[in-house]
Amino acid sequence: MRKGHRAASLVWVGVCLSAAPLVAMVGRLGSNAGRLDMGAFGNGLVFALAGAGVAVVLGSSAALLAGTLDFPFRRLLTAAMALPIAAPPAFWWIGLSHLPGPLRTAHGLLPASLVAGWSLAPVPFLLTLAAVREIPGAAYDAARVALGPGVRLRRVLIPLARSGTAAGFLLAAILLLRESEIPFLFGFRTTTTEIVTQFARSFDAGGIAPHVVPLLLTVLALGLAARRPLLAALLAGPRGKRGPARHPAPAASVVLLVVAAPCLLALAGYLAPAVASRAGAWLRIPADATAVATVAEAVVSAWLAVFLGGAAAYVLRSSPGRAALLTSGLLLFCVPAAIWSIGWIELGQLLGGWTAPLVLAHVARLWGLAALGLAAAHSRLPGSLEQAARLVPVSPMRRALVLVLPPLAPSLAAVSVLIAALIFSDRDLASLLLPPGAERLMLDLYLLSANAPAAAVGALAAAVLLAGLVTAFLAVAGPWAVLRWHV
Amino acid sequence: MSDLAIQGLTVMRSGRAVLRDATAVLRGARRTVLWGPSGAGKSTLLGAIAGLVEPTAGTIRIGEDVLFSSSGLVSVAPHLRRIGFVFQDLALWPHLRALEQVRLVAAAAGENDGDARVKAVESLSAVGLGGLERRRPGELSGGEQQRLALARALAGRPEILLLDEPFSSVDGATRRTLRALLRELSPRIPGPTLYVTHDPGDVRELAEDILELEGGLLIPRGSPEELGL
Repeated sequence: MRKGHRAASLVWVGVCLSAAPLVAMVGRLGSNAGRLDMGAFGNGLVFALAGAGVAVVLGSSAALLAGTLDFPFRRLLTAAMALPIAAPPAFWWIGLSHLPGPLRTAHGLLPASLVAGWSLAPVPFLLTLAAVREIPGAAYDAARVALGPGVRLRRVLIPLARSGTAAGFLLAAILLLRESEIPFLFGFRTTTTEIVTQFARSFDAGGIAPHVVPLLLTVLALGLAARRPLLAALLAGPRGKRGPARHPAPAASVVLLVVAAPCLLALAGYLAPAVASRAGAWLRIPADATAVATVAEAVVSAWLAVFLGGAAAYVLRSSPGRAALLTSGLLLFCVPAAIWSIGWIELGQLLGGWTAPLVLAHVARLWGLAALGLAAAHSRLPGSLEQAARLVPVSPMRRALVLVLPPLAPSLAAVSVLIAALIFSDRDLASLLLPPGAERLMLDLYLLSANAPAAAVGALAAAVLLAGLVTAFLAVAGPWAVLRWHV
Repeated sequence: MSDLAIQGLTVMRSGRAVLRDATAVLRGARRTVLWGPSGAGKSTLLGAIAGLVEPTAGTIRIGEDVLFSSSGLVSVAPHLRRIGFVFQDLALWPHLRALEQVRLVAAAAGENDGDARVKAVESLSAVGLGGLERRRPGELSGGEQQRLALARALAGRPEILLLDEPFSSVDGATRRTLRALLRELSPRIPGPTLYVTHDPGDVRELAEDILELEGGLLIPRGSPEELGL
C-alpha cells in the first residue's frame, strides 16, 4: 500500500472511532421506548428557529456593514461583534440578569430566543463576513457604479453573500437545538432539557430514545443542509484581491457598537456587585485545582483536536475524500453534547465500566472544526505554492511543517481558540462525564448563579474571564509555536 | 455633448502619489485611449472618475456638473455619476442571468420595469447576445461575457464610458470584432469614452485622442507614433 493511501486509511479509521459513542448510543435506543413530548419538541424548534432568525438579522446585517464599509474602530468593533461566541448564551444572560431593571423577570420563549439569538449572532456574522470578503471587488464596484444602495443590497450583495447567511442561520439553529441552559433559565422545556433531566434521573439511555431520535435526526438534517453553503462560504478559490474595497461610512460604527454593547453590559452586571462588595467576594475566587483543570483540559483538547483534525484534512486536502471528511466532521459537531455524553457512558458500559476521559470526548466531538479550519485556510493558498513545495526534496512531514502549513498558522490558531472556547464553556459533557465531586469553573458559575449573592457570582465570573483569557492565549500559542518555530 | 475636465487630480496610495496633479480635458462623443506602463495609475484614474477611489486633491467635472472637488468638498456617489464601466475582469454578477444584469442597470437609471426589460433585450441584441438572455455569466464564452459587460455598461444611458483593458483576455479575432462593436456603440455616449489599454492594435483602431500617463501626470499625445507604436 502506498504511503498516501495508508495515511488516508488511518484518517478514516480515526473518523469511525470518533463516532463510536454514537453507535453505542444508537444500539441502546430500541430497548425501552417511551413517548416523545411534542410540546417540548415544538418549543425547541421554535426557540431554535426564532433564535437563529435573530442571530442572522443582527449578525449578517453587521457583517454586510463591516465587509463593505470603512468606519472608525472597524477592527475593534469586528472583534467585539465576535466576542459573544467566546462564552455560552447562559453566561451572558446571567450577567445581564444581574443588572437592575426589567431583565431580571424575563421569562419564556420569546425573550429566550432574543438573548440566545444575540449571543449566537457571531456565527452568521463571521460566516457572512467571510462570504462578503469573497465577493470579487470589481463585481461590487460595478454595482456601486450602476445601482443605487437599495438595489445593490437586495440584488447583488445579499445574493452573493447568501452562502454565509444560510450557513449561519442553520448552524445557529443547530447550536440552539442542543442548548439546555437557556431554556432552564427562561423556564420552558425542550427536547434537550428533557434528555438531560430524564437521563440524570434514570441513567437509562433506552428510556430517552423517543427524545434523542427526533432531535438527532433534526440536527443531522440541518447539518446536511448547512454543508453546502458552509463549504461555499469557507472554501474559497485563491485570489489576489480580498473582497470589495470598503468606502467610508462613519455612522456604521454606531450600529456595530449597539449590537456588541450587551457584552459590556453583561460584564458590568457581573463585575459591579463584586466590585461594590470590596474584598469579601473576591476572597472566594478559586485559584486552585479547579481553575487549572478547566484551563488545561480546554487547551490540551484544543491542541489535540487541531492536530488530529488538521492532519486529517491535510492528508485528504487534494483528494475526493476531503468533502466526505469535512461533512463527517461537521455532522459529528452538530450532534448535541448531551447525546455525546450519554453515548460515551453507553460505550463505557459496553467496555466493562470504563469511563471516557473528558479530553477524548471533547476531541472526538470537535476535530471536525479543525479540519474545516485547515481546509478553509488551505483553499485560499495559491495552488502554485503547494506545487513549488512539492519540487523541494524534503520529507513530506518537513514539507508540511516548513513550507505549506506556516502560512496557515493564523487560521489554525483561530480555530484552536474557537475549540478551546467551546470546551471551556461546555456544561453537558462535564456534568455527565466528570466523576462525582470534580468541578469546572463554568459548572461552578451556573451552580453559584442559582442561589449565591450577586457579588460572589460576579467574583467567580471574573475568575472565569481570567481563566478564559489564559486558555485563549495558550490555545493560540500551541499551533503558532509549532508552525512558526520551523520558519 | 459634454467634455470631461480633470484638473489637478492627486491620488495617494500608501504615502505614494499614484496620480500627481493630473490634468486633462476629454472631449465628448470621442474615444480617448489611455496608455501607460503597468502600475502607472491608469486603473486608479478610472476609479477616481467613477468615484470608486477618493482623490486627495483636484476636481473632476462633466460639462457643468462637478463630480468631485476637494476644495468644494463635493464627492458625488458612484451610482449618481451616470458612468458606464467595463472592468478588466468584467465584474459580471455571477448569480444573475444576462437579461437581469442589463435590466437591473436600466431600471436603476430610471426606466420603468417594462421599458427596462425591453431595453435590456434590445441592448443584448445590439451586442450580438440575442437568444442568450437567460444564460448566466458562467454559461457564456469569453467573448460573449465581454459583450455582456459592454451591454450592461451602456444600459444605464451613461454620460461617460470607462473601459479598463476590457479585451485583454480574448483572442485576436474576437478582439477585432469587439473593437468594431465599440466603434459602433461609443458615439451614442454624449460624454467621452476613455479606454485603457496595453495593446498597440487597440490604440491604432480605436483612438481618436490619446493620453499617456507617465509619472502620475497625464500627457496628451497626437498620434500612436508619438507613443513609439
